[in-house]
Amino acid sequence: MASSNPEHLIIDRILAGEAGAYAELVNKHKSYAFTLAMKILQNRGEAEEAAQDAFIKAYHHLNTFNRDAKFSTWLYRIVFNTAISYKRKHRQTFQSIEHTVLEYSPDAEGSLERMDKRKYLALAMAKLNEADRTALTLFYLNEFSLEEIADITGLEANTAKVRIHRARLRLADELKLILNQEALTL
Amino acid sequence: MKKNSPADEEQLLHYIDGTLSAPERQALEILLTHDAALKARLEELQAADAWLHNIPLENPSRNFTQQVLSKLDQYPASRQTSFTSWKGIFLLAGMLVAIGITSVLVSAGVFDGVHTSINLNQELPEKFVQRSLPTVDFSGKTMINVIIALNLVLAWLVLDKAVLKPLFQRRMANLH
Repeated sequence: MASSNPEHLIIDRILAGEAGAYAELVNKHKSYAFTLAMKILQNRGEAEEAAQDAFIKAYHHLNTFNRDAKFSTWLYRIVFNTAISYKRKHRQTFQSIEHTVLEYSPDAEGSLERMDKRKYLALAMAKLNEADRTALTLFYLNEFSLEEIADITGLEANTAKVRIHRARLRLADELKLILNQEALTL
Repeated sequence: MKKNSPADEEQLLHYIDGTLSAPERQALEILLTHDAALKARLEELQAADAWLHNIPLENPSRNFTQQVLSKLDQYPASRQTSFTSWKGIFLLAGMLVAIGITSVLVSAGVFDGVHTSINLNQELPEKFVQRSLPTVDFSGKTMINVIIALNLVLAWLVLDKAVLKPLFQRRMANLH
Protein backbone atom coordinates (compact mmCIF):
# COMPACT_ATOMS: atom_id res chain seq x y z
CA MET A 1 0.00 0.00 0.00
CA ALA A 2 1.37 3.42 -0.94
CA SER A 3 2.28 5.65 2.00
CA SER A 4 0.70 9.09 2.35
CA ASN A 5 3.50 10.33 4.60
CA PRO A 6 5.26 13.12 2.63
CA GLU A 7 8.67 12.03 3.93
CA HIS A 8 8.03 8.46 2.81
CA LEU A 9 7.16 9.74 -0.66
CA ILE A 10 10.47 11.62 -0.78
CA ILE A 11 12.30 8.48 0.39
CA ASP A 12 10.59 6.50 -2.38
CA ARG A 13 11.81 9.03 -4.94
CA ILE A 14 15.36 8.86 -3.58
CA LEU A 15 15.33 5.05 -3.58
CA ALA A 16 14.06 5.16 -7.16
CA GLY A 17 17.26 7.02 -8.08
CA GLU A 18 16.30 10.68 -7.67
CA ALA A 19 19.22 11.61 -5.36
CA GLY A 20 18.40 15.34 -5.65
CA ALA A 21 15.18 14.76 -3.72
CA TYR A 22 17.32 14.18 -0.64
CA ALA A 23 17.81 17.97 -0.48
CA GLU A 24 14.20 18.25 0.72
CA LEU A 25 14.88 15.98 3.70
CA VAL A 26 18.19 17.69 4.45
CA ASN A 27 16.60 21.15 4.35
CA LYS A 28 13.80 20.04 6.63
CA HIS A 29 16.00 18.46 9.30
CA LYS A 30 19.36 20.22 9.01
CA SER A 31 18.77 22.80 11.75
CA TYR A 32 17.61 20.24 14.31
CA ALA A 33 20.40 17.87 13.32
CA PHE A 34 22.99 20.64 13.55
CA THR A 35 21.63 21.90 16.90
CA LEU A 36 21.76 18.39 18.33
CA ALA A 37 25.35 17.95 17.10
CA MET A 38 26.24 21.38 18.54
CA LYS A 39 24.91 20.46 21.97
CA ILE A 40 27.12 17.39 21.99
CA LEU A 41 30.26 18.81 20.38
CA GLN A 42 30.08 22.48 21.44
CA ASN A 43 32.01 23.42 18.30
CA ARG A 44 30.41 24.73 15.10
CA GLY A 45 32.99 23.27 12.71
CA GLU A 46 32.85 19.79 14.18
CA ALA A 47 29.07 19.94 14.56
CA GLU A 48 28.66 20.87 10.91
CA GLU A 49 30.98 18.07 9.83
CA ALA A 50 29.24 15.53 12.08
CA ALA A 51 25.76 16.58 10.92
CA GLN A 52 26.82 16.32 7.26
CA ASP A 53 28.39 12.93 7.90
CA ALA A 54 25.17 11.78 9.60
CA PHE A 55 23.06 12.87 6.60
CA ILE A 56 25.41 11.00 4.27
CA LYS A 57 25.18 7.85 6.43
CA ALA A 58 21.40 8.17 6.54
CA TYR A 59 21.30 8.49 2.74
CA HIS A 60 23.31 5.30 2.30
CA HIS A 61 21.07 3.41 4.73
CA LEU A 62 17.71 4.79 3.59
CA ASN A 63 16.71 1.34 2.35
CA THR A 64 16.98 0.03 5.92
CA PHE A 65 14.66 2.70 7.36
CA ASN A 66 11.60 1.08 8.92
CA ARG A 67 8.53 3.07 7.85
CA ASP A 68 6.71 2.24 11.09
CA ALA A 69 9.14 4.52 12.92
CA LYS A 70 9.42 8.30 12.60
CA PHE A 71 12.06 9.38 10.10
CA SER A 72 13.22 12.17 12.45
CA THR A 73 13.81 9.70 15.32
CA TRP A 74 15.81 7.43 13.01
CA LEU A 75 17.80 10.33 11.57
CA TYR A 76 18.55 11.95 14.93
CA ARG A 77 19.77 8.63 16.30
CA ILE A 78 22.32 8.60 13.48
CA VAL A 79 23.20 12.25 14.22
CA PHE A 80 23.55 11.46 17.93
CA ASN A 81 25.80 8.44 17.32
CA THR A 82 27.91 10.30 14.76
CA ALA A 83 28.37 13.30 17.06
CA ILE A 84 29.32 11.01 19.96
CA SER A 85 31.93 9.32 17.71
CA TYR A 86 33.32 12.74 16.80
CA LYS A 87 33.41 13.67 20.46
CA ARG A 88 35.44 10.55 21.23
CA LYS A 89 37.81 11.20 18.33
CA HIS A 90 38.36 14.84 19.17
CA ARG A 91 38.25 14.69 22.95
CA GLN A 92 41.24 16.97 23.19
CA THR A 93 39.45 19.79 21.41
CA PHE A 94 38.91 22.55 23.89
CA GLN A 95 36.39 25.30 23.54
CA SER A 96 35.71 27.95 26.09
CA ILE A 97 32.25 28.69 27.40
CA GLU A 98 32.61 32.29 26.24
CA HIS A 99 33.04 31.11 22.63
CA THR A 100 29.95 28.95 22.88
CA VAL A 101 27.66 31.61 24.19
CA LEU A 102 28.69 34.21 21.64
CA GLU A 103 27.57 32.05 18.73
CA TYR A 104 24.08 33.10 17.81
CA SER A 105 22.20 32.15 14.71
CA PRO A 106 21.20 35.12 12.52
CA ASP A 107 17.55 34.65 13.43
CA ALA A 108 18.39 34.82 17.11
CA GLU A 109 18.35 38.62 17.02
CA GLY A 110 15.57 39.91 19.21
CA SER A 111 14.91 42.02 22.21
CA LEU A 112 17.64 42.57 24.74
CA GLU A 113 15.73 40.48 27.26
CA ARG A 114 15.49 37.59 24.85
CA MET A 115 19.18 37.84 24.04
CA ASP A 116 20.04 37.85 27.73
CA LYS A 117 17.87 34.81 28.36
CA ARG A 118 19.56 32.95 25.53
CA LYS A 119 22.98 33.97 26.81
CA TYR A 120 22.24 32.79 30.34
CA LEU A 121 20.61 29.64 29.09
CA ALA A 122 23.64 28.89 26.91
CA LEU A 123 25.94 29.52 29.89
CA ALA A 124 23.91 27.21 32.11
CA MET A 125 23.69 24.53 29.40
CA ALA A 126 27.46 24.70 28.92
CA LYS A 127 27.88 23.78 32.59
CA LEU A 128 26.02 20.50 32.07
CA ASN A 129 27.60 17.38 30.67
CA GLU A 130 26.96 16.41 27.05
CA ALA A 131 24.46 13.66 27.95
CA ASP A 132 22.32 16.07 29.97
CA ARG A 133 22.55 18.79 27.30
CA THR A 134 21.49 16.34 24.61
CA ALA A 135 18.60 14.99 26.65
CA LEU A 136 17.31 18.50 27.37
CA THR A 137 17.69 19.55 23.74
CA LEU A 138 15.72 16.56 22.50
CA PHE A 139 13.07 17.01 25.20
CA TYR A 140 12.50 20.73 24.72
CA LEU A 141 13.60 21.60 21.21
CA ASN A 142 11.80 18.95 19.27
CA GLU A 143 9.50 17.81 22.06
CA PHE A 144 10.29 14.16 21.50
CA SER A 145 8.57 11.70 23.81
CA LEU A 146 10.62 9.88 26.43
CA GLU A 147 10.42 6.70 24.32
CA GLU A 148 11.73 8.55 21.27
CA ILE A 149 14.55 10.15 23.27
CA ALA A 150 15.43 6.73 24.65
CA ASP A 151 15.45 5.38 21.09
CA ILE A 152 17.70 8.16 19.81
CA THR A 153 20.18 8.02 22.68
CA GLY A 154 20.15 4.24 23.09
CA LEU A 155 18.94 4.45 26.70
CA GLU A 156 16.09 2.71 28.46
CA ALA A 157 12.99 4.92 28.66
CA ASN A 158 13.24 5.01 32.46
CA THR A 159 16.91 5.97 32.33
CA ALA A 160 16.11 8.72 29.81
CA LYS A 161 13.38 10.02 32.12
CA VAL A 162 15.72 10.07 35.12
CA ARG A 163 18.41 11.81 33.04
CA ILE A 164 16.02 14.50 31.82
CA HIS A 165 14.67 15.15 35.31
CA ARG A 166 18.17 15.32 36.75
CA ALA A 167 19.29 17.63 33.92
CA ARG A 168 16.32 19.95 34.52
CA LEU A 169 17.17 20.19 38.21
CA ARG A 170 20.83 20.84 37.45
CA LEU A 171 19.99 23.46 34.87
CA ALA A 172 17.72 25.26 37.32
CA ASP A 173 20.59 25.24 39.84
CA GLU A 174 23.06 26.57 37.27
CA LEU A 175 20.68 29.29 36.12
CA LYS A 176 20.09 30.34 39.71
CA LEU A 177 23.83 30.49 40.33
CA ILE A 178 24.53 32.49 37.15
CA LEU A 179 21.71 34.94 37.79
CA ASN A 180 22.77 35.42 41.41
CA GLN A 181 26.35 36.11 40.29
CA GLU A 182 25.06 38.49 37.63
CA ALA A 183 22.97 40.34 40.20
CA LEU A 184 26.01 40.69 42.46
CA THR A 185 28.06 42.31 39.69
CA LEU A 186 25.41 44.95 38.87
CA MET B 1 15.72 27.39 54.54
CA LYS B 2 15.28 23.60 54.53
CA LYS B 3 16.53 21.51 51.62
CA ASN B 4 13.93 19.78 49.48
CA SER B 5 14.16 16.03 49.12
CA PRO B 6 14.79 14.43 45.67
CA ALA B 7 11.28 12.95 45.86
CA ASP B 8 9.81 16.44 46.40
CA GLU B 9 11.75 17.80 43.43
CA GLU B 10 10.56 14.87 41.30
CA GLN B 11 6.99 15.73 42.27
CA LEU B 12 7.55 19.36 41.30
CA LEU B 13 8.72 18.35 37.82
CA HIS B 14 5.65 16.15 37.38
CA TYR B 15 3.52 19.07 38.60
CA ILE B 16 5.08 21.36 35.96
CA ASP B 17 4.61 18.72 33.25
CA GLY B 18 1.00 18.17 34.34
CA THR B 19 1.56 14.46 34.85
CA LEU B 20 0.30 14.27 38.45
CA SER B 21 -3.06 12.72 39.22
CA ALA B 22 -5.74 15.07 40.60
CA PRO B 23 -5.30 13.89 44.26
CA GLU B 24 -1.48 14.14 43.97
CA ARG B 25 -1.79 17.60 42.50
CA GLN B 26 -4.13 18.77 45.26
CA ALA B 27 -1.87 17.33 47.97
CA LEU B 28 1.15 19.09 46.49
CA GLU B 29 -0.71 22.39 46.17
CA ILE B 30 -1.67 22.22 49.87
CA LEU B 31 1.96 21.45 50.74
CA LEU B 32 3.13 24.41 48.64
CA THR B 33 1.03 26.83 50.68
CA HIS B 34 2.90 25.78 53.85
CA ASP B 35 6.39 25.07 52.55
CA ALA B 36 8.25 28.21 51.44
CA ALA B 37 11.36 26.27 50.32
CA LEU B 38 9.31 23.98 48.13
CA LYS B 39 7.42 26.92 46.64
CA ALA B 40 10.68 28.74 45.91
CA ARG B 41 12.07 25.65 44.20
CA LEU B 42 8.90 25.31 42.14
CA GLU B 43 9.33 28.89 40.93
CA GLU B 44 12.97 28.20 39.99
CA LEU B 45 12.02 25.07 38.08
CA GLN B 46 9.12 26.80 36.33
CA ALA B 47 11.45 29.62 35.25
CA ALA B 48 14.04 27.16 33.95
CA ASP B 49 11.30 25.24 32.15
CA ALA B 50 10.02 28.41 30.47
CA TRP B 51 13.55 29.29 29.35
CA LEU B 52 14.19 25.78 28.07
CA HIS B 53 11.10 25.98 25.87
CA ASN B 54 13.00 28.71 24.02
CA ILE B 55 16.21 26.80 23.28
CA PRO B 56 17.43 28.53 20.13
CA LEU B 57 17.65 26.46 16.99
CA GLU B 58 21.17 26.63 15.56
CA ASN B 59 21.50 27.12 11.81
CA PRO B 60 24.31 25.42 9.92
CA SER B 61 26.19 27.13 7.08
CA ARG B 62 24.20 28.27 4.06
CA ASN B 63 25.77 25.71 1.74
CA PHE B 64 25.12 22.82 4.16
CA THR B 65 22.64 21.04 1.88
CA GLN B 66 24.83 21.49 -1.21
CA GLN B 67 27.80 20.09 0.68
CA VAL B 68 25.82 17.03 1.77
CA LEU B 69 24.55 16.42 -1.77
CA SER B 70 28.04 16.82 -3.24
CA LYS B 71 29.40 14.20 -0.80
CA LEU B 72 26.67 11.60 -1.30
CA ASP B 73 28.74 9.62 -3.77
CA GLN B 74 31.82 9.67 -1.60
CA TYR B 75 32.87 6.64 0.37
CA PRO B 76 30.49 6.65 3.34
CA ALA B 77 32.15 7.00 6.71
CA SER B 78 30.13 4.08 8.09
CA ARG B 79 32.03 1.69 5.85
CA GLN B 80 35.27 2.67 7.53
CA THR B 81 34.12 0.79 10.63
CA SER B 82 33.58 -2.39 8.62
CA PHE B 83 37.32 -2.38 7.92
CA THR B 84 37.87 -2.61 11.67
CA SER B 85 35.37 -5.48 11.77
CA TRP B 86 37.31 -7.29 9.04
CA LYS B 87 40.54 -6.84 10.97
CA GLY B 88 38.79 -8.35 13.99
CA ILE B 89 37.51 -11.26 11.91
CA PHE B 90 41.02 -11.94 10.56
CA LEU B 91 42.41 -11.75 14.11
CA LEU B 92 39.73 -14.16 15.30
CA ALA B 93 40.47 -16.57 12.44
CA GLY B 94 44.20 -16.42 13.26
CA MET B 95 43.53 -17.13 16.94
CA LEU B 96 41.27 -20.08 16.13
CA VAL B 97 43.88 -21.55 13.76
CA ALA B 98 46.57 -21.15 16.44
CA ILE B 99 44.31 -22.75 19.07
CA GLY B 100 43.50 -25.61 16.67
CA ILE B 101 47.15 -26.31 15.86
CA THR B 102 48.15 -26.16 19.54
CA SER B 103 45.28 -28.49 20.53
CA VAL B 104 46.38 -31.02 17.90
CA LEU B 105 49.97 -30.83 19.20
CA VAL B 106 48.75 -31.29 22.82
CA SER B 107 46.61 -34.29 21.92
CA ALA B 108 49.54 -35.78 19.97
CA GLY B 109 51.53 -35.69 23.22
CA VAL B 110 54.17 -33.20 22.01
CA PHE B 111 54.18 -31.39 25.37
CA ASP B 112 53.87 -34.51 27.57
CA GLY B 113 57.59 -34.70 28.20
CA VAL B 114 58.04 -31.02 28.99
CA HIS B 115 58.44 -30.60 32.73
CA THR B 116 60.22 -28.08 34.84
CA SER B 117 60.41 -27.41 38.54
CA ILE B 118 61.45 -24.46 40.65
CA ASN B 119 63.19 -25.14 43.94
CA LEU B 120 62.28 -22.15 46.08
CA ASN B 121 65.01 -23.02 48.60
CA GLN B 122 67.60 -22.37 45.89
CA GLU B 123 65.90 -19.30 44.44
CA LEU B 124 65.45 -17.37 47.70
CA PRO B 125 68.43 -16.40 49.92
CA GLU B 126 68.60 -18.25 53.24
CA LYS B 127 68.45 -15.06 55.30
CA PHE B 128 64.85 -14.45 54.09
CA VAL B 129 63.61 -18.01 54.60
CA GLN B 130 63.40 -19.61 58.02
CA ARG B 131 62.18 -23.04 56.99
CA SER B 132 62.33 -25.38 54.05
CA LEU B 133 60.09 -24.42 51.09
CA PRO B 134 58.43 -26.90 48.67
CA THR B 135 59.56 -27.43 45.09
CA VAL B 136 57.01 -26.21 42.52
CA ASP B 137 56.52 -28.46 39.49
CA PHE B 138 55.34 -27.14 36.12
CA SER B 139 53.89 -29.43 33.49
CA GLY B 140 54.30 -28.17 29.90
CA LYS B 141 50.97 -29.74 28.93
CA THR B 142 49.10 -27.95 31.75
CA MET B 143 50.67 -24.62 30.85
CA ILE B 144 49.73 -25.01 27.19
CA ASN B 145 46.17 -25.92 28.22
CA VAL B 146 45.96 -22.74 30.31
CA ILE B 147 47.23 -20.69 27.35
CA ILE B 148 44.63 -22.34 25.08
CA ALA B 149 41.90 -21.52 27.63
CA LEU B 150 43.02 -17.88 27.80
CA ASN B 151 43.07 -17.72 24.00
CA LEU B 152 39.54 -19.11 23.88
CA VAL B 153 38.39 -16.33 26.23
CA LEU B 154 40.16 -13.72 24.08
CA ALA B 155 38.69 -15.27 20.92
CA TRP B 156 35.21 -15.00 22.46
CA LEU B 157 35.79 -11.30 23.23
CA VAL B 158 37.04 -10.66 19.68
CA LEU B 159 34.04 -12.57 18.29
CA ASP B 160 31.72 -10.40 20.37
CA LYS B 161 33.36 -7.10 19.35
CA ALA B 162 34.09 -7.86 15.69
CA VAL B 163 31.13 -10.00 14.67
CA LEU B 164 28.24 -10.23 17.15
CA LYS B 165 28.02 -6.59 18.24
CA PRO B 166 28.09 -5.12 14.68
CA LEU B 167 25.62 -7.82 13.58
CA PHE B 168 23.10 -7.00 16.32
CA GLN B 169 23.60 -3.25 15.81
CA ARG B 170 22.76 -3.69 12.10
CA ARG B 171 19.71 -5.77 13.03
CA MET B 172 18.55 -3.12 15.50
CA ALA B 173 19.03 -0.43 12.83
CA ASN B 174 16.98 -2.51 10.39
CA LEU B 175 14.22 -2.91 12.94
CA HIS B 176 13.75 0.85 13.13
